[in-house]
Amino acid sequence: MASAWVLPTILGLPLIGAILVMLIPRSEAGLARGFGFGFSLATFCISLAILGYFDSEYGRFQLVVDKEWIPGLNAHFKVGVDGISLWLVILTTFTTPIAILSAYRAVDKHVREFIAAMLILEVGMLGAFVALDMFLFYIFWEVMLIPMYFLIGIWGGKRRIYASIKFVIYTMAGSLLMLVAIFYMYAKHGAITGEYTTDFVALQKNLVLSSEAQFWCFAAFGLAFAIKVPLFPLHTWLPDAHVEAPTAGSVILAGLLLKFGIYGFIRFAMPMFPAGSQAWAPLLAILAVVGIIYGAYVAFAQPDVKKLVAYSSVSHLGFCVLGVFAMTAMGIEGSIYAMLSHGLTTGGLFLAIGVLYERRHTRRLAEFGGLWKQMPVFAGIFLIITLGSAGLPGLSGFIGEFLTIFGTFVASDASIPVPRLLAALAATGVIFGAVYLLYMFQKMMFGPITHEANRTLKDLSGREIAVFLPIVAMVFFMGIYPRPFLKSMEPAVERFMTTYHTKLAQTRDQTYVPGVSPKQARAAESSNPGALVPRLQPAVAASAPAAVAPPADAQAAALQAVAKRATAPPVAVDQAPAPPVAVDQTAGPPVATKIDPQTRVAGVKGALR
Amino acid sequence: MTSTFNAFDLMYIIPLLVLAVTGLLLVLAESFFKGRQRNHLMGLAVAGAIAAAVTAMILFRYTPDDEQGRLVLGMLKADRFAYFFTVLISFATAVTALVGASYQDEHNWQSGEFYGILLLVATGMTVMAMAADLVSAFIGIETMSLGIYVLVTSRRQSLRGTEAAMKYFVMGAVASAFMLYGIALVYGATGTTNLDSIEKVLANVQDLQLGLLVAGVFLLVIALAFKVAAIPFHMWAPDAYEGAPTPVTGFMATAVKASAFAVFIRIFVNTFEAESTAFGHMGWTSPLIVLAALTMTIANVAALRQENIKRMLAYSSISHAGVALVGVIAAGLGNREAATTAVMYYLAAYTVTTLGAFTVVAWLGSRDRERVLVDDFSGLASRHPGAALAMTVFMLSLGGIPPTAGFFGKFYVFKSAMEASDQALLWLVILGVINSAVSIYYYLRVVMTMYFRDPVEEFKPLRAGAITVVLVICALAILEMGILPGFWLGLAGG
Amino acid sequence: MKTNLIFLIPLLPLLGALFNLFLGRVIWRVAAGRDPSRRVVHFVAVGTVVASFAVALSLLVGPLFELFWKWHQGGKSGLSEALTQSVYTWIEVGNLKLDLAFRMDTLSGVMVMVVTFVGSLIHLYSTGYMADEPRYAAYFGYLNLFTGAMLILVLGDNLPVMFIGWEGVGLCSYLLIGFWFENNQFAYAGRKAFVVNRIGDFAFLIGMFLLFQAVGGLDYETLRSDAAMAAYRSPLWGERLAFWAGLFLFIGACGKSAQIPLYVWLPDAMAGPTPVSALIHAATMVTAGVYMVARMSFLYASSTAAMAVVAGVGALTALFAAIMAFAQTDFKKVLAYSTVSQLGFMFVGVGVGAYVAGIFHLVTHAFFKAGLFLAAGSVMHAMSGSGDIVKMGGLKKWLPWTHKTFVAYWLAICGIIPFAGFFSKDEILAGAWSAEGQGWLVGYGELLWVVLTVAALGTAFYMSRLYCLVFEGECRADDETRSHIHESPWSMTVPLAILAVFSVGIGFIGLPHVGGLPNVLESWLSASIARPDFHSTYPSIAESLHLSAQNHLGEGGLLLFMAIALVMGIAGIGAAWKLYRKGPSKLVADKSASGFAARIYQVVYNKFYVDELYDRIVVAPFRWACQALFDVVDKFVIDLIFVNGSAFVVGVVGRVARWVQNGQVHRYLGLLVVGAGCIFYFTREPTIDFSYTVSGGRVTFQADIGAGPSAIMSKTTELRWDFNGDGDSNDPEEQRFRNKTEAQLPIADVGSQVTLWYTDPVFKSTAKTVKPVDKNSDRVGGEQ
Repeated sequence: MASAWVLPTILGLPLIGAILVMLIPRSEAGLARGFGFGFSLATFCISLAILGYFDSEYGRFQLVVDKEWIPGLNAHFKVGVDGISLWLVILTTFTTPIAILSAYRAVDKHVREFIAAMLILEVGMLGAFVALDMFLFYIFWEVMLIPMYFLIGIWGGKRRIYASIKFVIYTMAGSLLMLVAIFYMYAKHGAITGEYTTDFVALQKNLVLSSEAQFWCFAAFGLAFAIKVPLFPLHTWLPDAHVEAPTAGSVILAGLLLKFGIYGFIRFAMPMFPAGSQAWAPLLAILAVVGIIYGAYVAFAQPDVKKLVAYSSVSHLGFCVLGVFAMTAMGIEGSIYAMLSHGLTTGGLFLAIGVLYERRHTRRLAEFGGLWKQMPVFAGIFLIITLGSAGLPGLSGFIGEFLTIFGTFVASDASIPVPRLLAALAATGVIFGAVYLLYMFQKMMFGPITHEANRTLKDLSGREIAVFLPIVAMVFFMGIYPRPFLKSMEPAVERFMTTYHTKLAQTRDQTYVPGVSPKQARAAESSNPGALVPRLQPAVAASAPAAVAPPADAQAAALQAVAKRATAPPVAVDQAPAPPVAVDQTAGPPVATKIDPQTRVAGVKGALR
Repeated sequence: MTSTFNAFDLMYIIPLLVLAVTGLLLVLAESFFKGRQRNHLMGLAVAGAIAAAVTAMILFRYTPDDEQGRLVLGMLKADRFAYFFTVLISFATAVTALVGASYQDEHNWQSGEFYGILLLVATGMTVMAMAADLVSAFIGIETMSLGIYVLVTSRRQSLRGTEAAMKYFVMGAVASAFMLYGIALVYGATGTTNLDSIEKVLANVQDLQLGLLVAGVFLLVIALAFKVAAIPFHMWAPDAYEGAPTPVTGFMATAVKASAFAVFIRIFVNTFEAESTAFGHMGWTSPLIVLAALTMTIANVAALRQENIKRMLAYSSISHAGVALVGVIAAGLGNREAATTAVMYYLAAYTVTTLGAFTVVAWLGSRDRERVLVDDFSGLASRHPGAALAMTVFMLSLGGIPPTAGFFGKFYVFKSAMEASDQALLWLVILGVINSAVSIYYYLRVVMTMYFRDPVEEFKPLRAGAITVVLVICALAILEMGILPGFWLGLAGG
Repeated sequence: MKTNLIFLIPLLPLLGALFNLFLGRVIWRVAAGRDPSRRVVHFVAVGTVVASFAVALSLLVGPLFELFWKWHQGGKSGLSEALTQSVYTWIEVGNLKLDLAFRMDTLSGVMVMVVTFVGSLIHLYSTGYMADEPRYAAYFGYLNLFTGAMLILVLGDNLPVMFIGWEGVGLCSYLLIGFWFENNQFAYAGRKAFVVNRIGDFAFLIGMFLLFQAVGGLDYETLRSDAAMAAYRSPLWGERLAFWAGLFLFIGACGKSAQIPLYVWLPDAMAGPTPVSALIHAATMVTAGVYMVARMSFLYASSTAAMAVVAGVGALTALFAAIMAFAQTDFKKVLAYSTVSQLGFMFVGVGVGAYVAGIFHLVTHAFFKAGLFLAAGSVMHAMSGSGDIVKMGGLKKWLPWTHKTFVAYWLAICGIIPFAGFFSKDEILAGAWSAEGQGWLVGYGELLWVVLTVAALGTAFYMSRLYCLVFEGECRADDETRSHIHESPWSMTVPLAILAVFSVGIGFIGLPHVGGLPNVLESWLSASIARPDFHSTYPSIAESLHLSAQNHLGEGGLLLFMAIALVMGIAGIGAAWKLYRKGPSKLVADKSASGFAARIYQVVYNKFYVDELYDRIVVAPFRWACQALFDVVDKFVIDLIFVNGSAFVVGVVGRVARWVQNGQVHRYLGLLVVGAGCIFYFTREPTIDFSYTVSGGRVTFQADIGAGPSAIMSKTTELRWDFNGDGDSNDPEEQRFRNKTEAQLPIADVGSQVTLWYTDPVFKSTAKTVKPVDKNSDRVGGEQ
C-alpha cells in the first residue's frame, strides 16, 4: 500500500530527532530547540498525510503496517489508525511543536535533554495511539511514562520529586495489572485457538472470555485507564503532577496523556470485554459524574491557578468517561470530541499560565488582577480559550460536552443506571464549569491592578502569539464546523458499537465448561478429535450462525440490534432473529489461525460461545 | 548409567576445562607477581573467561537442538542449556575480573589469588550448569560456595567483609547439609542419583517409598532456595552483599544466582515433574509458590527503605529471584519449554543489568571510600551524564520498564506463568506485578537522586577505560534485548 | 421555502464584530500602523446592523409576505410556510442531525425586525454615548457580536442553533456588563449574570434532551409534527412529557428572561453601559425566553400544567418586581425591576395561551423600554454619570427632547390609551381573565388577572414616581453637577425620538377585537403559532387554547376590561403625582423614616433580601463545600489516608524486615529452620475441588486434585464421592466412581449437594469439598 510509510515515519521521525538532538553539543541550546521544533513540526506535517490517505467511510483500521517483531511471542509491530485514533494522532503531532515552541524561554537548563524527552514522549504517545498489538501498545504506554517523569522531575517546580514519583507509581500500579490481563488474553487465545498472539484485531475477533474473566480483565485494564483519565478518586496524582511540571509538560500531560485513559477504554477494554464493561459501567459512570462535580467544586477552591485548571481536567474528563459508557454513538463521538477539545483548551490554558509564570514567577490567583489592561491581546486569547473550556456554543468545548451529556441522556439503562439522572447531574458540571472558570478569569484579568509588579507586564511577543494562534483557530473551527471530525469518527464508532454488542451477545451465549483446563482440552483434542465439541452445548441455537456468519451479516444484525437499543428498552442482541444455518466449515470461520481444521472448528466454537 | 569414560567426550566440556585450567594457572602464577604487578593476572583471567565463553558459543552452535544433550563422564550433560549458562557465567566472570582489577587499584588492595579463585568459582558454576547427577550438582555447588566465601572476605582488612563471609559460611554449611540429606533421601527412594535415571524411575511412581521421596525433594527445595536467597532463607544475602567488595557483590548477585537456577531447572523441572511428587496441591511447586510469593513481596518492601545501594540491590536481587522462581514454578506446572526459556532469558537480562549496576557502584567509589549510599549519587547526571544514563538504563531494566531487557524478561516469565496450569498461577502473577510497581519506587529513587538533586561534592570516580566498555556493552545489550528480544529467546531455546 | 439570504442577517453583525475585535486592528496595524479610528469603528458597527436590518426587511416584505398572503388567502388553515435556509450540517452523529439552519417565519420575522431596528438605533445612540470611551472598538465589537448572536437565537431553525445564540447573547451580556472591568463590582455582576444564566441553560439542555428522546429531532418542523404532538401527550413521571420538557425549557427562559427565581442577575446587570441595558437587558436578550415559549407554543399548548407554571411564575414576577421597583433610588435599577415585571406580563401572556398578546407586549415593550433606558442614559449623561434619582428633579427644562420622549415612553408603560403599552397590556389582562386550562384550579385565570392588575397599578405608580423625581419639581443636584447639565447630541436624541414615535404608534398593529378593528399582528403571527382552531387536529391543544380572549369575553367585556386597566393606570399616575410631584412629599419622607411602613420600606428597599438569601443558601454553602471537599476528600482521605497510608504500611513492613535482619547468625539460622518447617507444614496439606456440567439430563462431575498428585492417583490416593447427599460414600453408584476423577450420572441420582473426599498418599490427610448442585440450570456450576 502506498500509504504504509506514513505511520512508521511519524513514529521514527521524532525518535531520530531525539537521537540527533542528543548529539548536538551541550552549548548549542538554540540549535537543539530549532531541531526539536523542526522535527516535531515535520512530524505534524507528515501526519497530515494520514488525513489524505484516510477514508472516512471506512470503519476498520487503515494505513496498517504489520511486521513480525518477536517471533517467539508472535508479537508484531502492527500499527494502524481508524476514526477513533485518527484525530488523537493529529492532536498529538499538533500539540508537540506548540509545547516545544512554548518552552523556548522557559527551559534554559539541559535544553537538549528536554527536547529529547519531548520527542521521545511524542514517539511513545503516537505509538500508543496507533499500536494494534497489545504488547506493542503496552511498550509504548510505558515509554510515555519515563520522559514525563524526567520532565516533571528535572524541569519541574519545588515539589517536583514528590510529584514525579507519585505520578510514576500511580500510573505504574495501574498499568502493570493491565499487563497481567494481556497475559491472560494471550494465554486464553492460545488455549482456545491454538495460536498465541498479541494481535489486537485477532484477540478482539476470536477471543470471547467468560463473563467472569471479562469482569476481571476489564477491572485490570480499567484500573490502568481510570488512573490515567484520571477518574475520581484516583486523580490525586494529577494536580501534583500538573503544578510541578513545566508548562510544556503540563500541556502534554493535560492535552494528550490523559486522553489515553479514555482511548484505552474505547479501543481496548470495552470491545474486548463487553460483559466486563457492562458490569463495571454503572460504577464508572457514577464515578465519572462524581468526578465532574467534584472536580469542579475542588477547582473552585484552589488558590493556585494551575491547580485550578488541573482539577478542571478531572471535571472535563468525567464527561468523556460518561459519554463512553453511555454506549451511544453520540456519547462516544462526543467523548472523543471532548478529548480533542480538552486537549486544545486545557493545553491552551496551561500555556497561558506558563506565559504569566514566566513573567511573574507565581501562579497564585491573588497575585494577579486587572491584567486585561496591561495585556489585552493575552486577555482576549485567554478569554477565548477559557470560554472554549467552559463549553460555550460555537467553540470547541461545547460540541463534546453537549454530545456526551446528550448521549448519556438518551442512553439505554442497560448500559448505565438512571441515564437521565446521570446526564442531568453531569450537566450541572456545565454550570460549575462557568463558575470556576469565570472566577479564575475575573480574578486574573478583571478588577484594578493590585500588584505593582503587574503594572509593567508585557503583552504577548510574536513567538507567543504564534504559539496560541493555532490553538485559538482550532477552538473556533472545531466549534463552528465539527462535521468533518465527527464524520470520520462515525464508521469507526459504529463498528466499535457493533463489535461490542455482538461480542456481548456471544458472551451471554457461551457455555463455559469449567474444570477443563486448556491442557486437558488439547489433550482430549489430540487423542480424540472433536471429543470436546459435544460438551459445548449451545445455549441458544440461533446464535451459532450469527457467530460464524460472514462478518458483514453479523455486523448488520448487530447494527439492527443497536438501532433498536437506541429507542426501545434494551433487547439483547442474541434475540435478533437469524436463520438457523448449520455451521459451514468450508466458508471458514473468522479466525486467521494456522491450525488443523478440526481444532479450528472446535476452537472457534469455544471462542465464540 | 551406560556411559563410560570417552576421551572424545572431553571436547564437549572444553569451556569447563578452560576455566578450570586458567584458574589453576592463575593460582600458580600468583606467586610470581608482586604488588601492582598482580594486575597482569587480570588479563589472563579475562582471557580465560572469554575463551570459555567463545568455546561455549561455538559448542552451542554445533549442539543439536534436542533435549537430550550429551552425557559426559556420566556426571555432566553437555546441551544447549549448559552452554547458555556457561556463556552467562563466563561473561560475569570476565566483567568481575575487569572491574575487580580497577577496584583493587583504587582501593589499595592487591590480591592476586582473587582471579584464580574467581575462575575456580566459575568452574564450579559451570559444573552446576552441566550437572546430570545429584552428586555432580552438589560438587559444583560446593566448589562455587567455598570459593565465594573466600571472595567475600578477599579484602582482608575489611571487618565487615570478614564478618559477612563468616555468616555466609555458617549458613551455607547448614544449607549444604540440607542438600546432602535431601540427596540421600532421594537416593533411598529411587536407588540412583543420576537425574535421567531418577526420571525413569519416577515414571513408575507407585512402587516408590513416597514418604522418602517427598522429604528428599523438600530438602532439596530448601537447599536450593537458600542458594538463590529466597525468603526466608535469604538472611545471608544482604549482609554478604554489603560486606563483599563491590565487584564480588555483582558477581554473587548474578553468576551465583544464575547457576543456582540452572541447577534448579535441571533437578526439578527436568527431573521431578510436579505430578510426581505428592505434596500438597501442586507437588514440589507448592512450597515454591509460597517461597516465590514471600520472596517477591518482602524483598521489595525491605528494599524500599535501604539507604545503602548495595543493600538495596541485594534485596532487589532477592526479589528478582522470586520472579525467576515464578518461572520455575510455571515450568514445573506443565509449561516446561516456554517457562524454561523465560527463566533463562530473564536470568540473562538480569545478569547483564545487575552487573552493569554494580559496575557503576564500583566505579563511583574513590580512593579511600566506596560511595555506596543512594545519596552519594546526588547530581551524578550533571557531572557524568554518560554514567548516569547507563545507570538509568540499568535501573529501568531492573524495574521492568520497557523497552529494556528487564521488562521483557519479567513479561516473558509472567506470561509463561499465566499459560501454565489453566491460570492457577494468576494470583502469583498479579502479586509479582504489584511488586514490580512497588519496586519502581526504589529504582527510580536512584534515578531521581542522579537527575533531580544537585551534586553535594565532587565525584572522583575510577579512571578505567575497561569500565566504560563494560557499561556501554551492558546498556546497549539491555536495550537491544528489550527492543528485539527474538534473537535471545531463540538462543534460550524458545 | 428555501432561500439563501437569511444567513446574512446574523452574519453581517458578526462580521462587524470580527472586524472591530480582531481583523480591523490587524489590517489597520499592518497598513496604517495604528488602530482604526472611531469613525471607521462605528461606521462598520452601525453599518452592519443597518445592513442586516435592510436584508431582514427586504425578506419580510418580499418573500415572507408572499408566503403569508398565500396562507391568508388559503383560508388560514394550518401554518404558513416559512423561509428556511440550511447553511451546512453542523453536527451529525447517530440519529442526531443538526443543521446550521435558519428559519424566518412570521414570528421570527417580527423578532428580527425588533432586534435589528432597535439594535440599529441603539448602535447609533452608542456612538454618542460612548464617544469618550477608550475601548471604543471593543465596545462596538461586543455590541455587534451580541446582535449577531441574538439574530442566531431568533432565526435558528432548531433548538441547538437557538442555543448557540442563547449562550452567545449570555456571553456578550457578560462582557458588556463587565465592560468597565476595573471595577470589581461590575465584573462580578457580569459573572453573576453569566452563571445564573448558565443555571437556566442547564435546564434548557435537559429540556432539549427530553424532547429529542421523545420526538427524535430538534428542528421546529419536527417538533410540531403529528408524531411530536402525540409524544407530548405521553406520560412521564406522573405528568405529560410536554409538562417536563416545557418546564425545563421554561427554567432556561427564567434565567434568560429574569423570572423568579433566577431574576437576581438583571438588576446587577445595570453595571454595564446604559445603551447595553437598553439593547440587551430591556429590548432583546431578556425577551428571548418569551420568544422561546411562543416558538414552542405547540409544546406548551399540549400541557395545561406547564402553561399554569409559566403564567403563574410570570404573574408572581410581575407583581414582585413591581413592588421592588417602588423603593429603588437608582434610575436604571427602577427600570431594571420594571423590565423584570414587564417580562412577567409577557410570560403570563404566553402562559395562558395568548401568544399573540405576549409577543405583542414584547414588541411594544422593546420600543418603550429601550426608549426609557436610552432616556436614562441621556439623563445620566447630563448628570455627570450619576443615576441617583433622589439627586435629580426638574430636569425637563434642561433636557427638553429627553423629557418629551420620556413622557411618551412613560405613558406607554403605564398603559394610557392610545400609547403602545395600553393595547398590549390589555390583551394580556383579557387573556388572563378568560384563561381556564384543563385541570387548573377554579379561578386561576381570574387570580392571574387580579395579580397583573395590581402589578399594572404598581407599574403606573413607580414609573410616575420616577418621572416626577427626575423631571418635575426642583433640581436637587449639587451645583457642580447642575452646572454641567446639558441636552445630549443628535446621535442620541434622534434614536430617542424615533423610539418615542414607535411607542406611541406601534400599538395600532394589535388593536382589540372591538368594533371590527383589525388586529394585524394577530393575523400575522397566527401563521406560525399554535392556535385555538387547531383543536380539531390536536386534542391536547384544544384543552388549553380554546380560552383565548375573544372566546369568552364579548365586546362589552373587552371594553370593560380596557376601562379597568385604564383606570388603574391613571390611578397609579395620580397617586405618584400627588406624592412625588415636587420631590418626595412630606408624607413619603415621614412614613419612610420610621414606623411600620418604614420597616416595610426597608425590606423593599433591600429587595426583600433575596440576594442575601441566595448568598446564604446557595453561594456560601457552595464555597464552603468546595473548600471542604478539597480539604477533606482530596487532601485527607485520598492523599493522606490512602496514598500516604499505603506507603506508610509498606514502610512499617520494611522496618520489621530490617529489624529481623539484625546481623546475628543464630537468628538467621533459627529463621531458616522455622521457615522451612512452616513452609513444609502449610504446603503439604492437600486440597480438592470439583466442577460440574448439567446437560441433557445428565450431570458430569470433574474432580480437580491439583497438578501434584494426579499422576499417582490410581493406587496411592483415595477419592470418594457422595452424590446423593447422604453424607457417606457407601452407595453402589458412589463406589463405582471411587478413585475416578470424572463421573457422569443421571440427574435424578444427584442430590442437592455433592461431597468429594481426597486422601493424599504420603501424609494420609484428607481434604473434603462440598458443593450444592443447581440441577435446574442448563448452564454450568461450580466454577472455581
